[in-house]
Amino acid sequence: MKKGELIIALSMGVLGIWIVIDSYNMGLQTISNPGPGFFPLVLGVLLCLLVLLICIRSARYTKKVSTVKKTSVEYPTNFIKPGLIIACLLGYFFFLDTLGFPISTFFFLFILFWIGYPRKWLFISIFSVILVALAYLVFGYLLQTPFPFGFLGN
Amino acid sequence: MDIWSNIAIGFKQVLELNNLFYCFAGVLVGTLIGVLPGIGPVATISLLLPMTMRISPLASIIMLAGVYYGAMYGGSTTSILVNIPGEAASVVTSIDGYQMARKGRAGPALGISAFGSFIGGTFSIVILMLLVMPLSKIAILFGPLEYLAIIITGMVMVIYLSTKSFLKGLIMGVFGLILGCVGTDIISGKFRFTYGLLYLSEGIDIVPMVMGLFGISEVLTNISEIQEKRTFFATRVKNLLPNLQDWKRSILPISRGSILGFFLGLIPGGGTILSSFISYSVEKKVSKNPEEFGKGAIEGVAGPETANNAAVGGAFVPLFALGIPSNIVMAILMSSFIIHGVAPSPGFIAKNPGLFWGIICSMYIGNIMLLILNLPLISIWIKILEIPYKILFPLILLFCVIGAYSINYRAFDILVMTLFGLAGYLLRRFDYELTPLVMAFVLGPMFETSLRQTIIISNRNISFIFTRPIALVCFSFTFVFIFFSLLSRFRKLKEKIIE
Repeated sequence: MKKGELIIALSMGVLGIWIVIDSYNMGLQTISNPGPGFFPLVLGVLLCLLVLLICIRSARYTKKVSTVKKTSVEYPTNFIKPGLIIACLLGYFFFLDTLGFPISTFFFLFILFWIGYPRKWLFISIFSVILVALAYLVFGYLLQTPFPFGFLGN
Repeated sequence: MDIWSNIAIGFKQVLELNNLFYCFAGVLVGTLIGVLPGIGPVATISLLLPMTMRISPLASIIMLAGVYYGAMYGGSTTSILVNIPGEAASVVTSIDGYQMARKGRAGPALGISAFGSFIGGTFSIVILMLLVMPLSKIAILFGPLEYLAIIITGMVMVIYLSTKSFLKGLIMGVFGLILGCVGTDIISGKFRFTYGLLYLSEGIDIVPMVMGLFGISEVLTNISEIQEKRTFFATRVKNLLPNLQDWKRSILPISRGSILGFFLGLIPGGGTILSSFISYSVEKKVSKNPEEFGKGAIEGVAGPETANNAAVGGAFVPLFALGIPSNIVMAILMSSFIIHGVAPSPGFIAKNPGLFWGIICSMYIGNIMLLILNLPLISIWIKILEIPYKILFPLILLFCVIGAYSINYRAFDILVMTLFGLAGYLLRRFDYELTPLVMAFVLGPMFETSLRQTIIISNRNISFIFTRPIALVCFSFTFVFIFFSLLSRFRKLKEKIIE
């Protein structure tokens, strides 16, 4: 089993245990008249069982593979770009209300274009400004979306 | 009211300028994303969901449905010309379509795929129209047990057909059901898993969730993969109209593809991908010259392209008649209906005749629009293919953040979308399919309500199931289905051990 797969399976297992505890506290009532915790409890137990099953199966499979021949597991090499994108999105969420739509969107686009064209900063600056203006025109002006302006005010 | 009066109502609705515009926008965007590899109809429909909140339910469904069947048309262009399927349902088209292009017959390949798509699409709408009315009349008689049985059968088939690992698919299904529990309990009115957050009191918002799971995660997946340089085999396409010989060879595959595609579209988890693959294998099997397949046989383009468009119409039947989506696109479309307060159910057509017939008639108009759009605009689609992904992805992400923000005008939805995007990316990376998750999330509340009502009605008497034939058939089918799939896996495992 790949390391990532194991982490996901274990996270699901932890979630399952959490759901079981939480739904038990919600109230199960009776079998003939189930309460709000009944259905999530069943799901939590089911999730734990499935995770257990997948771990057992994977452990068996890994044993078999390792006895036959040792193979090198290839992990994805490029996690930097997805990581940068996630950071950009989180940054956009944090700064949208403070910096306002025009400034935060400009920086958001600038960094994203910079990922693809790291040396063409002038081109991507101009392109980002045009896109911010276009986006505001379509969504803010025509579709009347009330974007925040942060410290710039309205 | 007879069927003709209903059709007249539908056309009256759809021929309003506003609705025509959304129909055109839908099929245009659909074709565009079908052409562009790296963004599929599921991601696009998810991204467009927030935009549709401000327009009428009819216009929004017309547009989103247009994206779906439009993508089926557009997907064939890249398969034939570049050997890169624009979306999964066009994978098989590339086998013979690309070979035809190499032989200088890209025009007839594109032409027959457009005509086949049109015929398959139109055929499926006619059958949908005829089938959905009587089926919804029967469905009114369904009780909670029948719904429970249909949902379980549907979910099992979706997990089995759309995932590589049944176990991982089940985990995703259960995870989706858990996410569906967040919010206010429908029966008792108590808050569940909200942890004092007001945002969660009405449950997790489906729009930022699907935008993250499909839109953001797709961008993250594409950006982390090395982009291959595309080589075009044909930049100028001539003679788009197939000749008489092409038509003679294609007419039967188109007819078979229409029927096969429609019925496979009905099956939960079946959809467009399965129908195109099965159509290809059927054509190869019935062909007098099976050795030509893979070397540029026009039947290998006509059959699958017809079938994947016919499957779209088929997929609408369970949604309209029972209120149960049969695939992921239908699940997202269902959430769009719910957003507008017109959730599909057995009584949906009776309550909303204008809406239902408007959607049906829009598909006729949309298919004609696609036929007109596809053939003359092929050179433009080829040009669009040359846009590098590093320019496209910031635009997609900009669209995502604006879309997420405009749902409730709050930045918190961007955070929700981002978190689901990250989760979706990691889950896909390790072969945990997202389809069962979203299907279970959408069907979760209906599933839970039906389960709890069934338990109360049954009064601890399990033999009650045997008095309900529909539920009994569904449960038996599911049991037999699981039994045989486990048996075949066990046999394969045994063969491996012996080897």
